[in-house]
Amino acid sequence: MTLIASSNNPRKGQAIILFTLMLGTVFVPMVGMGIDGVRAYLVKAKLSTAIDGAAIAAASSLSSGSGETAQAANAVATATEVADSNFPVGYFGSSLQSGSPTVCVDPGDGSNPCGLGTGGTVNTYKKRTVVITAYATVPTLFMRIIGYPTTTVAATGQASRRDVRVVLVIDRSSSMTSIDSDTGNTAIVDAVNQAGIFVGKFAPGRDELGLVVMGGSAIVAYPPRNPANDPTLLSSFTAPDTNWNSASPSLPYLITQIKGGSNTGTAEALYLAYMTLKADAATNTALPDMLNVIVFFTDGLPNGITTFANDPNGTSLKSTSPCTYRTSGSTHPMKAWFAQWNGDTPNDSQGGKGLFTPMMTTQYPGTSGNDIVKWMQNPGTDNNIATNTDNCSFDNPSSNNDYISHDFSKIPDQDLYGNRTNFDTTTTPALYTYGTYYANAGGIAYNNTKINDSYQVGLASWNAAADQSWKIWNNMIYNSATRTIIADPNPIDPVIFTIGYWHTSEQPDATLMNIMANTTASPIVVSTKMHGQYFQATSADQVNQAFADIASEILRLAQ
Amino acid sequence: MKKKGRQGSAIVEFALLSPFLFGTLIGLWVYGPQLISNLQIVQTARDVASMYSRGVDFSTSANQAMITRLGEQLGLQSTGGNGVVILSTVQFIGPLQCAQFSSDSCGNSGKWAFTNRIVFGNTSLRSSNLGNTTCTLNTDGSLNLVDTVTNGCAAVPNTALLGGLGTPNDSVNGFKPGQDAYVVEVAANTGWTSAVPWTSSVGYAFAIF
Repeated sequence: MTLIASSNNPRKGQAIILFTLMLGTVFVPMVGMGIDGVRAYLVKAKLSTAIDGAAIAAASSLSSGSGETAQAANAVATATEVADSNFPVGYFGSSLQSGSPTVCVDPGDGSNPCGLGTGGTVNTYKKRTVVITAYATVPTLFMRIIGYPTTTVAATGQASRRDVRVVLVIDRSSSMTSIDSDTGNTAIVDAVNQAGIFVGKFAPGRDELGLVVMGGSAIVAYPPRNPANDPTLLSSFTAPDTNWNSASPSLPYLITQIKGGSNTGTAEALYLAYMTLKADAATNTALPDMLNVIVFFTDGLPNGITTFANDPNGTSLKSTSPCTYRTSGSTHPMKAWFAQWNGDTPNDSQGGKGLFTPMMTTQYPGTSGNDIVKWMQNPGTDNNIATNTDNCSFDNPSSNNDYISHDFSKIPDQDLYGNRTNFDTTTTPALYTYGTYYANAGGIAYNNTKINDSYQVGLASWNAAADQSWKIWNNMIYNSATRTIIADPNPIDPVIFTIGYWHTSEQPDATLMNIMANTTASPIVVSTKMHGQYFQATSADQVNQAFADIASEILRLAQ
Repeated sequence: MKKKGRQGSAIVEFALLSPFLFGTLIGLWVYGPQLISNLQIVQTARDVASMYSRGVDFSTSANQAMITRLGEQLGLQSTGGNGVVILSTVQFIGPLQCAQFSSDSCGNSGKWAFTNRIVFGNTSLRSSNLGNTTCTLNTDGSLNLVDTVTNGCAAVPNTALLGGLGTPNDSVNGFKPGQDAYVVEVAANTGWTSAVPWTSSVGYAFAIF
């Protein structure tokens, strides 16, 4: 009653007053926090997307530019563009503070300009990191009523690009001089164009590139080799460097000079590429932090090897050979290559032709100093190691007596670099039995005494290439001083990509390409090692695609 | 009488206040789930783009399943469902790209062109803001490089989404010709899609990596 008596209707309108009070103190803040909070989260999510995308694109852009400074500038510009693309102006009414994100590139030299930290668990060596930070101001809808007209959201992203070391191997064998039907160019002209574009995707000043060119004999074209050095020794090799674009002659220029011709010495080329890749493995502590890659392009089957025919520790020459080199292996070492000349038909009474001087150890005739451009331009200068006065049958190619069968008693057991011509492992049969040669011939076994049989030379060449691959994937290396294959004291873990170009009747062997790349399709795959990839191309366009895919893959792995 | 009068005023007051209350509640009920769904769409686009740009092959059902689990609340499925994921890799074709196919006419010179396109989910829900390619796709969604560079079927029909990247130029800092841009678009029905369809709309987000 007191309540009623004292009221005289005083609670009329109280609900509205209370509601109005609640509106300002409870309702709007609660709803505002809900609605404005979700909006802010949306803007933050969008900003994070923009910054993540910008960081990844910027790290990718570190490949473009003539030097490290230009590459960093390119990354900064790319980051801003990609961030802008992802974060539309006025997204939920928001705007980027300062108009653009803050982009910082850590060069990985310990200077730590972006505050990533150094030492301890922070390993930035041989790695550049792009760090991006952005703040956005978001206008509120409800919270402004109680004095909070805007809120700020922030996002940070980072992406890294590891420096890469790549050795590119280009097959220039004579089959590369045939015409590509889809371009009208010779295959070597197309390959040269494609390889030039490929190397253009790497960063001068940071990435380290090397080049090996392969015919019957292979040569390290970049970095420059010294013909006086013994290529069977790891110490003779120089690791790829970052000056490949500015050196004289530069690596891109050397690629443009490659002409087609000669045979296919796959084992030697792979050996040279691997030795170049790991030349400084014992001393370069940065090597494990880099991505080490071999890209191997070939259009045919291995058909030749480089050997030490009169090796004092195991000659392959006939005792009846009149060749005066025969008995003087230490002073006249027959370190030279031979190859099939007319296909791989079994029992063709031909066998290997040779012996020719390896490009690695021979100064280009008539030159002094850096002869590498000449070797690029003239694949046909396969000089015989002997002269007519040496009484070696192979010294006179014009008389067609240059088949090694005249002087050899057997196909050598190994090539000059310790790659065995007939090798099986404890778990696999002889490697050559996986190959196309063997399958096409209906499974004729290897017989190293059939020296006048081109098919047998093919098997030996195939097996040598597979054995070099086996050594790479099992961390083994050839010790030429003791002529033994030993555990590699400084192994590296490379990634190998292979491109097999099927454009003539003689097609590369997919199995060998898979063995070389250690793909899961390899019959001797080593599962603990990085799997590369085999690209099979049947046209110049597909070779183009393969090079582009490999570059993308390398740069992706580098992130 | 007094009691009766007070009762009446409470009803009137409630009637006066109810539009605010119910309006706010309905607003929250309708737009809250939409905002949350949109947040999920943006996050999904970001996550997919992060993986796509690092080489995850979304043409395989296993990798698509990864995304459908990620977007389970959105109703994403490999086929059909409440959402669609559109993946495109594009690049700007410049002189160096044309030089790769010097014997062909460089039909896409100075244009953005597709190098990869993968779509999964409810493909009728929404189309790509970039438009589509009519080129033949390989099983992994890739286009043959020769098509990307030379064939008009690979040209990106609508480049507005890529406007922020400007016109890539080999001699100007920034996004370069031949550089892959990974564009992920995610669209899904938002709100109370099945229970109260009128509260539903198609949310969309993109990410460019």
